Amino acid sequence: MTAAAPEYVLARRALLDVLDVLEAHQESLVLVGAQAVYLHAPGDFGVPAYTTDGDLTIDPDVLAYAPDIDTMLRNADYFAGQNPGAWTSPSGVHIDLLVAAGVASGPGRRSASLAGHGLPTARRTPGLEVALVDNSVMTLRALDPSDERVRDLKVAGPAALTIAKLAKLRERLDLGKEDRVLPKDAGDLLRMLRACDARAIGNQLSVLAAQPAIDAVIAPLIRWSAADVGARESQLARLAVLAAQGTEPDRQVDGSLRALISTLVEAFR
Amino acid sequence: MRNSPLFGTRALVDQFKVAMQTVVPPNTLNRIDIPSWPEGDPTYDARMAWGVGDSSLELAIRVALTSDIPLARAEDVRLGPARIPVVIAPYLSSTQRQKATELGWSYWDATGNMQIRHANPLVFIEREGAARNPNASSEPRGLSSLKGRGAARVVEYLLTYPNRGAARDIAREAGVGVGTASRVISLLRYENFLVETGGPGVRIDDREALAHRLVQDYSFVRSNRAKRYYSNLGRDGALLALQRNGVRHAVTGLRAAADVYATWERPMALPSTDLWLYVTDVKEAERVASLVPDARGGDILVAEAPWLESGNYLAANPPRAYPWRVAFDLMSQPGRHAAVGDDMVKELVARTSTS
Repeated sequence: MTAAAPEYVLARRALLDVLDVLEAHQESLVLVGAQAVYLHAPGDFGVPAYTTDGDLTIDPDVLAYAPDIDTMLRNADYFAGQNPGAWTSPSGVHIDLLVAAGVASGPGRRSASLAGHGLPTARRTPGLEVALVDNSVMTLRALDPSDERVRDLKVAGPAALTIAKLAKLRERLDLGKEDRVLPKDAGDLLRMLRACDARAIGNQLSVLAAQPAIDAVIAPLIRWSAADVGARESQLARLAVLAAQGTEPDRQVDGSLRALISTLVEAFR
Repeated sequence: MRNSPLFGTRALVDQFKVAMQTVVPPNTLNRIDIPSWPEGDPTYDARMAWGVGDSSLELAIRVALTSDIPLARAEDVRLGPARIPVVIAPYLSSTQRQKATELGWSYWDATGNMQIRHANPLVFIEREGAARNPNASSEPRGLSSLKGRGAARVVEYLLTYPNRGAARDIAREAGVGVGTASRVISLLRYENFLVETGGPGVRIDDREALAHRLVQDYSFVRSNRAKRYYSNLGRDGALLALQRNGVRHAVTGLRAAADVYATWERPMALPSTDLWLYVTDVKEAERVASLVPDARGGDILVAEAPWLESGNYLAANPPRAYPWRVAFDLMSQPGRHAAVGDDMVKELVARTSTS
């Protein structure tokens, strides 16, 4: 296997750092985002494994009232960014603390209120609801051989990560701001579907959709993605092709993403 | 004389002498002396002084009545500056002629193939004789090329185990019929690649030449009916799916070569862009690895390998073909593949001969 990109090594170190800081709240944290994708889908799947940040979702039902996350992070020299939940570690790595929009409370459009914790602590994010019910404990290791830290942490499952990626892509594509749409997210989606069996992911989503609140998140995204890959010009396929540029022929990536999402949709029905 | 027990040595040298008398233009001095027969010389059977033009040279002759072609570089056998080392034989195949040239030997065969070279004074004489051995009585029946899958299996076995086996043992070990093994061995014997051991088995001395001979006929794509695909799962995903679903397979080509080079602690600079696979069941592989036929741009080449059984490939992760197979698969394809295959063969020969 090829060595991890230096940025990814740094991002993993920063993730372990923030988990050290937030140890008191670890039970309420679920790893999502690219680092979770790569834990489920290591290796070369035609799209490079690369990330510069760490994404953690907080389960408000499990989160303790104290200690205050906002204070803990500031005391450990983390900086709060302009957006709620966007933190920067002392080493300069972005750490996003997120709350699934479906379980977030408070009046804010973007910030999520967490009782006992400062307001900018976390950002409400659509599509993360599934991660709160589809996760398992995995062992997280540093990618730098000199860092011997190992931590067991809840990690979102492939089905939850697929929905999270679809939700993020849809939200940004709907905004119509091309500069905010990251091909990398489509690349991670392709990696996940290739490594974790699209049919199994569809089946798992079907099981999870038995809960109405979860179905309300999953079903629209499945319908949207089915329509997208069925169209002559697929936005998802276009972005995946950009993500895999130089590693695999465009036609293959386009065909693969369409076929795998169709398989997932078929299994979900 | 090195070859004295073998009938025909003197007759062949005499024929060579006659042939040499015809190679120089009229009115040019071309005096060839009676051959001398050096006693106890491990390399040469005969020597003949050759006066040509203003120069005095010596033809140092090695007679190859069987497959006993020279294996050492000519400059390694203590030549004088005026001496031309020449291997002569009833017939030399194109591969043998090429090999002799590479090792610095001039050559001549009784069908008229000839190349006599010397740097100073400059001598270069070249004649073309028969392209195939005219001795019809030893022509192998039913097999005139090594392009088939069975032939490749037999040659792979002989390259991997150069000092082993009679046809029946080779057939069993290589997973081919005894008839196939016998016909391949006959062809190789006819083309002077085999050294008789005096017993039932055969021996290969020049594996590099044999590998080159194989790929004159064999092609990874054509001989194994390989087809191009891409996988919806990507290359690694396809391998993972084959493994998870128990479809017997072995990697060959550049990816397998990279693994072999890693074991030699000689990492390959460039990664492979294609995945070449042997599978026992193509249909099953297509299904489980989500393979999509793509003759133009597919990056996965899948070859039929009914012979792929436990012991015929390396049960690594991922499973891969044995190094000699990987080498000649690569050599049979153009460009970078052939260059890597060629290098692998040299390394395999060097590693075996020094181990």
